[in-house]
Amino acid sequence: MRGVRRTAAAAIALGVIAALVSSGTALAQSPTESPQEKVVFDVGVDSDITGLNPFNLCCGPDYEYLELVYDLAIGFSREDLSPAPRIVTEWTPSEDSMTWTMKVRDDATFHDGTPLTAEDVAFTFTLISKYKMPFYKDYFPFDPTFEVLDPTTVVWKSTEPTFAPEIPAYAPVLPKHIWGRFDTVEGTPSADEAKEVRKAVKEFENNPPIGSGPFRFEEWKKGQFLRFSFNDDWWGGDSKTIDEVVIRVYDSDEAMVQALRSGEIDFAEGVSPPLFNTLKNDPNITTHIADGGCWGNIAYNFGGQGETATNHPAIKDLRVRQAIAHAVNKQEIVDRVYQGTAVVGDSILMPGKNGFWYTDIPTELEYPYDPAKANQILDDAGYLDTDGDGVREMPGGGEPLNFEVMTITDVEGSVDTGRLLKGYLQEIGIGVKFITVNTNKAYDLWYTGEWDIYVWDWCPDPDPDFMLSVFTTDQCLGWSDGCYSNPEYDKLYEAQQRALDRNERKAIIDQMQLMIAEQLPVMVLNYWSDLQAYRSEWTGFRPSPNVENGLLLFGYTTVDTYLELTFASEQAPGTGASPGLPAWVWIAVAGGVVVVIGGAIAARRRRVEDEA
Amino acid sequence: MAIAEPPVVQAEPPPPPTRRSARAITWARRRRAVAAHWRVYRRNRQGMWGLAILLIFIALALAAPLLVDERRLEPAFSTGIPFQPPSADAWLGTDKFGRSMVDLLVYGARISLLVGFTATVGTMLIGSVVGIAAGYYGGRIDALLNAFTNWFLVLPWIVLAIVLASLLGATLFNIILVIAITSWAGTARLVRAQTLTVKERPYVERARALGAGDWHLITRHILPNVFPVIFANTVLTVALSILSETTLSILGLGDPNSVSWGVIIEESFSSGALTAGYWWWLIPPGVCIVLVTLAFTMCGYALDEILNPRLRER
Amino acid sequence: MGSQRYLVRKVLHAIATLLFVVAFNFYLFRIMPGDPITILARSQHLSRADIAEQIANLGLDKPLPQQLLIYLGDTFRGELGVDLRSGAPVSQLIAERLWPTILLVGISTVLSIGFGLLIGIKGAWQRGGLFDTTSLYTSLVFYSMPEGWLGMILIVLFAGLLGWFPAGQYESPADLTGFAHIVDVLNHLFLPCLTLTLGYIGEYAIVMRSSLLEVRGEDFITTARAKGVPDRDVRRRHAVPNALLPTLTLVFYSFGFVLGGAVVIESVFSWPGVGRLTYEAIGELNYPILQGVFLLSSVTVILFNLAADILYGYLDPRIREG
Repeated sequence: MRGVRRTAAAAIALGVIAALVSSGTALAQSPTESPQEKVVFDVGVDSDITGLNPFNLCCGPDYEYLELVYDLAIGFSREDLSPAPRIVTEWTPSEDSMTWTMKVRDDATFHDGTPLTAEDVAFTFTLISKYKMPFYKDYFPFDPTFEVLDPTTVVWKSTEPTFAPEIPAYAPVLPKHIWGRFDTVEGTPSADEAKEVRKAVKEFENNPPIGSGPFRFEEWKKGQFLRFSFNDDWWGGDSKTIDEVVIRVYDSDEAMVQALRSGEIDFAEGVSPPLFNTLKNDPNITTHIADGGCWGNIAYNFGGQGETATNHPAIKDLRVRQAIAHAVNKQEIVDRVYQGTAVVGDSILMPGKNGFWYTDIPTELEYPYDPAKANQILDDAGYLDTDGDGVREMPGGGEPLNFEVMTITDVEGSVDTGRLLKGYLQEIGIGVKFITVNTNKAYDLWYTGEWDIYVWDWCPDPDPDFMLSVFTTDQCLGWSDGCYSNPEYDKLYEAQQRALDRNERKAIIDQMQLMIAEQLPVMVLNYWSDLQAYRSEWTGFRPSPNVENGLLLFGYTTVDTYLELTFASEQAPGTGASPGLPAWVWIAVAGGVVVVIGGAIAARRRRVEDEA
Repeated sequence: MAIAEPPVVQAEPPPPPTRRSARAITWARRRRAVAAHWRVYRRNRQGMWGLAILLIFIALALAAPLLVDERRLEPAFSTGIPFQPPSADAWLGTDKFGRSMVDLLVYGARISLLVGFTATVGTMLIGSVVGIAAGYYGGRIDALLNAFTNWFLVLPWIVLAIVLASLLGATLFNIILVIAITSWAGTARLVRAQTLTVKERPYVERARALGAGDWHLITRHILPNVFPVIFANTVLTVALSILSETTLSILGLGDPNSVSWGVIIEESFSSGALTAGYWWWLIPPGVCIVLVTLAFTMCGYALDEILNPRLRER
Repeated sequence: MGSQRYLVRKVLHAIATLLFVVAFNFYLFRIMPGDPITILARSQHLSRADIAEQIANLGLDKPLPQQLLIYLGDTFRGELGVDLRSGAPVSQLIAERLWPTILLVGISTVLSIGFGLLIGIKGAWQRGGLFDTTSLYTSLVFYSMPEGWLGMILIVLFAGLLGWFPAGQYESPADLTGFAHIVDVLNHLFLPCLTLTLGYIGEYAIVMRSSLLEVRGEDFITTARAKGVPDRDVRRRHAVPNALLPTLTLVFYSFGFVLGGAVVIESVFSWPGVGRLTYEAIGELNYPILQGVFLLSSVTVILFNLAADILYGYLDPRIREG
């Protein structure tokens, strides 16, 4: 009896293992034998998207998602980021620049099959401007209204002369048949009504998102990946090879680069400088330094935030700021903090992103690195070290020049730049006390003015207006770094807003850039790079804008690049498969576990029975 | 509640000289006890190894300013080439600022040990005060403090530490504070349990009957008897504190301006040292942490075996 | 009778602790620095008015006592607020991330307990032998190792140099189904699981070892030996069952804390679990998420502690009567 039971147990165990093995191998093989191989292009990024709702976007890969799934009304040329036809193919102003007529293309369809017409464009613009949707509303100044003349014509009516329609609104064209339900208020909404609508719009999950862009949304596994498939009905043409785009999220750069090396992903976005430099030597990988669109800076606190402000009196002295500028070795910061991947910067507008508007600052206003001169300036200005402790005091003695320098842990390069800055300032007799905080805490201190110098960054829009506004007096307790105030600058700012001629506006903006460079409310240290790398078997990338450091992907309208990529190798690259042990190893392990546990149970039972 | 015999009062008059000698006797007894423990400890191979490793690191940390020119650790003044593999100049290579890893590790020892020791002192202080108060006074105070301790025991320390670290800002002092606040509860529980047993011992009751005040009882009777038990725990807490600091640093919550071993690991990892092949940047600080925590743990277990006789082999 | 009272007391105690945690949770996150909204504001160029509106939308402009009432009501209805970035319900976000964490932590805990106990028993029984010395020191070394660092080393070794396993993530986005999917997940699971297992094995082995050593010195073992019971049976029938008690309670106590331990490992391996959700939320100080995770992990700890208490009471009759 006993023997029979044991044999039966063993037979069952064996049967289970056999079944597992056979079914397992069968299943493991089936997907690889599927007849049609999809070409998948895997992109690695370092953070997940915020959400699928275009009104909740903020950073990182959000915009790539937006451009894959949606179309912009007016896009950007990949040559120089100037306005380029997209859904809107033509836009013509009236004589007085108050009325703009826009032509909408007639061959666009949303992913659910509904045709995209002028109605959808007008609706999107109306939704944004009528309810003052944050972030997008600035593209629609002076309370415009939008009128649909026919399915291919929209008229933008402004209450004041404007060139706004020409600036591509970085807003997706939304399907009216889906979003229309939020436009609930007839006529002009009251403040409260608008608020209610904004809330409802922002809470909309928008899953699945329906757009008219080159790729359809397939799935989003939060914290893992997003999958998109090519939209065969796209108005803009066909995809050469790619059937699917997958955006994979990696928490660490380390893991992302490993994945690129193993072929798990085809493209890595935003690689950190040291890793980027090692990828340069990898024969299978091509690296590309692109314009990162942000500049690193140190900013000064002029006070004015109220009673809490603890700004140092010496900061207001231009000579002190000039001395610091001479003491800082910008090239060394680029080399040591960014491992040579950033570029020394000079103006608050960027040569790449702001192309047309950027002014090269003359050398004398860049205050080149010269610690001796810096010391001389401070000596001449009467900041002397009278007590011999290595730190200068205010003229006539008194408060020593010890500055509170705020560095921010989650801003790349901020802490390290601060550490170098400490050494530079030490060389000219200025002491540094660090306040190292995360961004949230930094906002608190920023608003209360409890700092003297901070190391942070700005990322200007392609249109310079916002960046220029940051240094106006009105922005104190708004976006101003340290409540810098200069009436002359404020006047120029207003003048550039009223200038309707591009070249006239540029002349004013040039003057403003020079003024900031000279007056140093901030010191522009460097222009960051976006470090991109891809598997070398892929070809078809071209930088946008078409300069050496244009972006390959993740730029304005670079989404078209996905359609042009091809690969040159026998095997389809980037199937997205991760390395790992083959199925049979795991089956063997599972079998082993079953045998061991089964054996242990059998042994135990035998012992119990023996003793019984 | 046994009441001690009154004659003892007369037998022990309290003139100052006698008192001083009584104290001297106590000290002599304690010295003897320590010496006896030391003799046992010396026979414990594990404990001796731990102690040896510890002494080396402590010596390094103390001598750091003599061994390393502090100016060379200032990124702006470092003259080395970044990311150099080990060579005759820099035995363990250089970091992203071209600073010698050996210099960094020696200074890192200072900071890591400082965090370990001070956080432990903080932990022990809070834990002992709460534990002794709860155990000694009993009743409602005990109920309250005990509940408080139990609450802290169930709070997920890492989330609490994250919140506190971001609330207070990333300075070394705050890191120490965070570690102490999140780890005292275990000690308090241990101390309370020990206080409860000590409190019931006859000599404590006798002293109480003799009219000794709470302060006297706690400092003269409870504390000296609780201390040996929590001593082993203290040594283990140092190891845990160093590990906690490393964890916080790896999560990017450390003080980047005080380069502890944990901060070095975080810097190297976030700069991708491993994929880049800069092993000398990531492995040595980890090895140092392992060695030091291992040493503390070995000492702690050795002490536990000595002070907790049940563990000694019979 | 006594055991019932013990049980009721423990449950009441757990409920009281839970209440404290809920209230503490509320205040802890209200003292956090910064308006949670402002962190998103800089990249979106939101005006102060926009920010104020968002804060009002989240109910953060109301007086604290009122917020507390709303919060308590929501919590007991299982609503944990909304994610500040996407506006999605936190309970849903956490639920989505729960399975990978349970998988990772569950398997590694089972493995580390299993191996830890075996190593501890074998070591203690042959105290001072080669196995004991080697296993003790190995356990101590792994116990002293920062888990995150160990994970990094394993990544380089197995993902970088050898290329056997993926460096991170939960699965390939390759549309795998059925058994192929399971194999894919197992491959991704291997390294983080190994890290956690190695990290915890030491602790269990050491505790089991010392508790068995204590039991071995007890009189009843000596008695059993004196009666001539074979050594193997002394171990199996007398020593181990008695030594298991404290170890098992430790296991239960520590089980509740694994969520915390998973934060580092999940971040290092990009494992999409609750721990990584926490890590991401730290970066942007997304406090509703942190608050949700805090509540979840406290509740887990409380429940496991309760389970440990009940188990202890069940196994150790002295407690029941006490």
